[in-house]
Amino acid sequence: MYHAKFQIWVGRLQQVFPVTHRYKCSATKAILSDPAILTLDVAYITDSRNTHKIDKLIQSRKGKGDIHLVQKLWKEYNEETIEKMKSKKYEKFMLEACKIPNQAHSVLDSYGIEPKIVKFINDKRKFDFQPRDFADLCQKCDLLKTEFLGFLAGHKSYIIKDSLAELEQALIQRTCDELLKKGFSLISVPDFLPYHVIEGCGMDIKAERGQVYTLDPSLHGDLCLSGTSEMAIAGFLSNQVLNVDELPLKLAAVSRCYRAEISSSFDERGIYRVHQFTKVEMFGVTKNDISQSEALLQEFVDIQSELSASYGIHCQLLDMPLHELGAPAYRKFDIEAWMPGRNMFGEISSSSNCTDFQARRLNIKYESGEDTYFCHTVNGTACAVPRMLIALLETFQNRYADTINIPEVLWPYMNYQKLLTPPVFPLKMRYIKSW
Amino acid sequence: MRFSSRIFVWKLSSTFGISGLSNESCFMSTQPLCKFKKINQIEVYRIKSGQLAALSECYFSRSCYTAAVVRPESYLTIPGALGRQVDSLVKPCIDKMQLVDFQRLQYNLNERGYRLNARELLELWKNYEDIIAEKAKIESRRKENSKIGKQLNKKSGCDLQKEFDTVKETGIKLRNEAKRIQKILEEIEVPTMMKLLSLPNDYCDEPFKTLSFGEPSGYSVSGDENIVLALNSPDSFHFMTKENAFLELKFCNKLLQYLLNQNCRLISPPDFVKSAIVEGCGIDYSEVFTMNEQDSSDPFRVVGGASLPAMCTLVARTTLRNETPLRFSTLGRCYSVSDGTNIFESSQRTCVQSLSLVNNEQSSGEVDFMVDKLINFYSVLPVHFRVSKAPLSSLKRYEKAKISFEMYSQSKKKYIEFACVSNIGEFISRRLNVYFHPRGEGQFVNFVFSTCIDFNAFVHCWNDNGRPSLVE
Repeated sequence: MYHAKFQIWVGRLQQVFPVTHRYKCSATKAILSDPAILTLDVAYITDSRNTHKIDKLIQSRKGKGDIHLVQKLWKEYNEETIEKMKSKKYEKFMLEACKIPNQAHSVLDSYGIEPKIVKFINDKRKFDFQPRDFADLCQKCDLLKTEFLGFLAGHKSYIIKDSLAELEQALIQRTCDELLKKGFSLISVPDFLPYHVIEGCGMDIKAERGQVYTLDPSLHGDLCLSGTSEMAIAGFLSNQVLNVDELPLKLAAVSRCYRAEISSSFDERGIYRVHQFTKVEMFGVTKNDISQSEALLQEFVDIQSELSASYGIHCQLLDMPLHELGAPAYRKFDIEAWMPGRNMFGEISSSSNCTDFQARRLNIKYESGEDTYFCHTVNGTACAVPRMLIALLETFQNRYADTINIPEVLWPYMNYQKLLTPPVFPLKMRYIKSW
Repeated sequence: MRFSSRIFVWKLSSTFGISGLSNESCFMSTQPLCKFKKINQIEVYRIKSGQLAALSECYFSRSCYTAAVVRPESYLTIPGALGRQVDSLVKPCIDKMQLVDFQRLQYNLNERGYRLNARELLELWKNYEDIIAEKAKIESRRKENSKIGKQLNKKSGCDLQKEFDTVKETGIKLRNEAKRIQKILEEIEVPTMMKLLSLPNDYCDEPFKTLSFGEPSGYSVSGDENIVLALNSPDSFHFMTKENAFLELKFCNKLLQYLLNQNCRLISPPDFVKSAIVEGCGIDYSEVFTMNEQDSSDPFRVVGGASLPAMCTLVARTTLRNETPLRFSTLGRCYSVSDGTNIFESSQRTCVQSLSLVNNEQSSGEVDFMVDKLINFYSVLPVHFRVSKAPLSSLKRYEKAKISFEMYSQSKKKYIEFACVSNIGEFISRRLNVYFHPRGEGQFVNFVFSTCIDFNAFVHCWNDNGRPSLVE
């Protein structure tokens, strides 16, 4: 009987997750209702000795923000004497100051426009036949439905079926198990967030409205669909003062991610870039110490490398140049997997050290002694399902049979199935094209 | 605009407020209308002559704008002659058998709290059918008349002139009659179909004996540990941490693996669906999230992959050739609008859902099958729960019958449903065109939809009952 094997050890759970913060459901206070208290590093931004450095940073990073304007507004604010005007000038100053991106690691100055390849993971498989691409493989094995779905569910919709859907679940389960072994705590997060949380993470909703899905404000207020659980986790920690003994804090979440960005590039066809997908995310919080946050970033990168290596896919680890960094990132590493069917590398994960950029906007602090300090935050993708599926299927396809090998590490999560195969009883459904 | 809508033609003042209500009329738009703006959440379109069928010229005036205020009542198309004029996603097929026994229908409506009169609906439907029949009769007579005319044409002779005149006169009379009938039909077709599409599913008389499993915990209330309210206005969302998050990941996956061993096929559907799919499932738009799409009069609805509308995207507008039962399962998010602050009332829930496609004879057996399987799964856990038939008053519009799995909440002092098996019959397949091959009347696929776990409800009751050790 299946249920005879079913066990969950609650007692063991209580040892694995020692109780430090016990939250009770409060009917009165919702933690994301109010925006966090914003505290920028005004001293750094307004110091004229930093102007050139910040200006150069802005130019390298897609040009958002104007440090000269910020410093001008600061001067005007200080010179203003009328109280009412002073507060208006301060607001203007803060709005512009928020656009200034995070500092960056000094090593990135030497990178130019190309990322630095840190290392390769696994060897590239040599094919003695022309490898097929993901869409072809799925069509042969009847594992993916994309046809006639646009009318019902929108552009770029897809339905993963049968053993491919089981592989999706296997990836999620294994990734979470590996993260739990490495001391991460799981958190279940909302997929809908208010604007102020997304902006607090460094995303400008108005400027980048094309990337963020919003809900009808007349019905649902200022809710957006979250593009990554990094935002929700950061929101969870906002306005909190953590105990220094809890740091570094490592959290992991499985969530549905929604991104409105579109691409008509041939390389990004199929499910390479979609509007809805599942992702396992890592989020870390450290003390206000660059060496600690850099160490945690390195740990995240090591975990990603380990996971990618365990699947047997060929990858490259990249240290990203300045212009590839988002506004919050101090440093970023990407892992790109080789996709033989597309004959290209595709990004499957990314890790960023945001230092205190997000913590200042979301008021995430820790206490040490009698003082409180802003934390440093680090985030990274543990598993982005669609691209991982592409990399796996294209790498492990077989020439003659309509089968794809499943990496050994995933066998326990697939009922010890070793091959992806077409379903024994294929679905025979025909779309009614015309009435 | 690709759906039939009630279009109310109003005149706007030069300041663009709505002033003076013109005749409230029902038109069909067969061309895209130019969106003007939103006034008080109502979409206003600027219209020109000819864009709305049968719109009188007198509505157009230079001194003020004439606008069509469109309030779509339905994103499902209208069957019949009007439906053929528009580009439709689905073509719902009304279940006329529901109207035959109007006493049963009235009882159904009363129990479910619908303020509709079954007798009036029946008369409305009969009137509609009479007009269709009359139209068919007139068309038949026109064809006959036309045939006679052609036969007369072939003959020759001056004594035929009288007969020609008679045929011509009859033809004109019949044509005018056909126009009159068509106008009447167009006036009543939309309101009639709207009313019939708003009817709930029929109900199932089959009895079900309430079953109880496990012993009540007798545990004193501890509250929802490690569950944090994220947002509560206008909709509520929660965070779950520590054991709750772990349980969500592992428990739901275990249940999913159990279902896959019961010949369920795993799918991962999309989270966004078109309005017609939501409406085809008999779900109200106020229960789902709506995307902000300024330029669209048919915005996407965010329902979550683990929801009935999302699973229906696999089968909508299809003919099925597989042998049944055909079972699909999914694990993921289900979103529905809610402002309740408890975790089991959250707008976002993690669910394992199962959709069974069966024929008419199999549907009752499939309900029993799914109930048995869920009882087998849950009865080994040290939790107290009961399995009972849900009262008619609590059923959703698409449900014929529901078997409900409930655990007792110490803090709320009531039973809370954490799983259920719903018999839907043909209700959704009639609206979303899901047929057995070959397609035709009587070939609709029956649905049995099971929420195998609503994890939010389960975790609340589990926390509430002292978090019993889930050990075999």
